Amino acid sequence: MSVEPRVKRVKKPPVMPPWYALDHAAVIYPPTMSERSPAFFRIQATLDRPVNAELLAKAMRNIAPRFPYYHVELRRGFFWFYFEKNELPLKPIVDSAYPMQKPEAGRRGAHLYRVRAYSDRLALEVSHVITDGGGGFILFKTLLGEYYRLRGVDVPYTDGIWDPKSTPEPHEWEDSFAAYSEPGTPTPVRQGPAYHVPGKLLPKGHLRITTGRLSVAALLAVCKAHSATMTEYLTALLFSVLQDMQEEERGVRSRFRNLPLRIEIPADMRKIFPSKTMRNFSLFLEPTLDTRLQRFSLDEIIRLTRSQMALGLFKGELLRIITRNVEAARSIFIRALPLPIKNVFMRFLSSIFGDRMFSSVLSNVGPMRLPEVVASRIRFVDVLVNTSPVIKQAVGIISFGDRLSITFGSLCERSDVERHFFRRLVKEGIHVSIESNDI
Amino acid sequence: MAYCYKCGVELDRSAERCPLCSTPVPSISDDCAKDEGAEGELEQGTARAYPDFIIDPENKYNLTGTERRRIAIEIISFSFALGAATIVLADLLDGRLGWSLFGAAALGCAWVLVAGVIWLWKRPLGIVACATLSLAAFLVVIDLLAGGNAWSIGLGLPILVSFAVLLVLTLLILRFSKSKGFDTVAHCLLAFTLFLLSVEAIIDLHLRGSVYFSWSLITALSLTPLAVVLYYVNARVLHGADLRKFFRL
Repeated sequence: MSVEPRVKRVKKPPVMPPWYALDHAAVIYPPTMSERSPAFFRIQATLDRPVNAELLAKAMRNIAPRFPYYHVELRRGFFWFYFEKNELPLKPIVDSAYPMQKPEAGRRGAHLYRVRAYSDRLALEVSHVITDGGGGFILFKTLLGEYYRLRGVDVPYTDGIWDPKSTPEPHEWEDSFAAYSEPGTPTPVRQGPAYHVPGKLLPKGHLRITTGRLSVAALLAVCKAHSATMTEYLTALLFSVLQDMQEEERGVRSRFRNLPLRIEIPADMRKIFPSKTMRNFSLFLEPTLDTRLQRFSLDEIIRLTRSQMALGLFKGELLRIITRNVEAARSIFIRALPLPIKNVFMRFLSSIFGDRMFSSVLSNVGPMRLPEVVASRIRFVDVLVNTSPVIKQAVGIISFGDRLSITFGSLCERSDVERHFFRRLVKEGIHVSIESNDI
Repeated sequence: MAYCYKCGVELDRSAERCPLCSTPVPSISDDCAKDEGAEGELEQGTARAYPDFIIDPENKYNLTGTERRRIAIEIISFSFALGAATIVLADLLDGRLGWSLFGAAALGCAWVLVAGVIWLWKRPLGIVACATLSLAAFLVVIDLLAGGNAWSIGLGLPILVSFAVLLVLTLLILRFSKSKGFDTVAHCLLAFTLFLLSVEAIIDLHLRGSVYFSWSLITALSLTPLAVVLYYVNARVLHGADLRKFFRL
């Protein structure tokens, strides 16, 4: 009797499926993307010297295999959009005065993220169809790390910089919404429409970017005086500015003037659920200020904002939203609708549950941590979030070392919101430096 | 280092006005700028934060008009060729070619018409010339296939040419005429009247060898006064008013 030699089984590395469905947060974006609302977000770093385009292109090529779930193209199926592997190489492109242009949904070879460079600025623009800020920052940090490695810097793979040679894990392309939904959870309470700043829109394709940079320590001192966290204070400040603007037009006939104020604050669900997905997994909080009740002082707004944000981050409340999103997509009625009809339906839903519900968007992504060898070569980091013609302006906040960047992306001709917001910070004794793409 | 005295914020060196309130920034002489150069971090970069130009990376995917037309013609050519081949093969099932030649000739004429319109898009005179030539060729081919009675030479081609000439004249008049509105309709009515007269003249010459206006004269006597009324209304009543304004619902 012969004994067969024992063969050691080698575990095959996990392979991305050739095509797969959009996650439950992404399905709303392809039908609602427009020139004015491209569903993109942008992270940009201003380096200490001009960007080397050749090294950047090489860095992009090197990290591409590590993030196969971002090298996809969006395709139209009969019932749903889906992702397919995109074989076309991605190259860096020159930055633009008005960035974040809309990609063509369903077009062959169209990438869903871009790397742009101009002078000493390096920017990553990512479509919300593939990921949210959580995934986008890992991609950006890994790109920065690889770029500096190619420049001869010994960059460690820490602080969110991934080793490009490591293997992608299946949990990275998991749809965490489906994984964490709990059928039977009651649906969330539906909010009504909110006040919107009136004003003429900028021409299509134009986006005014206004970045204010200030010291984190100086702002924290002000926040401490108000017993608030940075997000609470800045949200309250935005509420206060919107309240002033709403009061200014009390006498003007407008059907929106007597509506409450509501700010959309994206929250990373990876901090609440044990998910490691690199696709979308964020929801938003909805602090509301009903200015029909009274005029609120800044400290009152801070208290209200704090309590509403705490309630919004309650796990049960989040499960309501996650389950509603997933169950809606699982409904046989929704699934059986052909894509063109579904798109019309989605646009309607987005208008009712999205744009009309919020007066503005404020996204505080927190501190950007990088290894010292990389951080010392970067002067500023900014983040720009998506807005829409109804909401008109959105605020992206990020801190890098002691420097806080507050970036307004606005589609509105009038710049009152930004002006009042930064003037209020200056009145608090904070030094603010302003940068803009206004040409 | 520049400041906006209204907003109290520091501005980029390249800023000509405050992005928040549009207050112009007083220009600083180069010497002053050089002295202050080492102070702030903003001074490290000399270029603007964002470029002055707009680059849409999606534009590279968009086809030009010529590329779109070329693709459309390619698809149309393939479809027409397939259609012609199908009817010829179906006809050959009987053992010889017959009716399918008429169909193939009609498809050939339609192909020239459609492809010509696509290729000569926004060139009306070119489109008229292309359509006239293709229809003339089609008439001659049909005449030959039907036995060669020469009706295409005596009737078809003259009528076609008279139609084309009147169409070109009308288009030129409409293009260079300053008066629009009812005048446009009147020009078209007169052109149509002339066309009917020419059709009757051509038919008479072909059949009898002489011209005697009868039915076309009746239509001319009906349409010409109508055209005159439209010229009069346009000149005296509307004074060149926009028809959209006049007929606004």
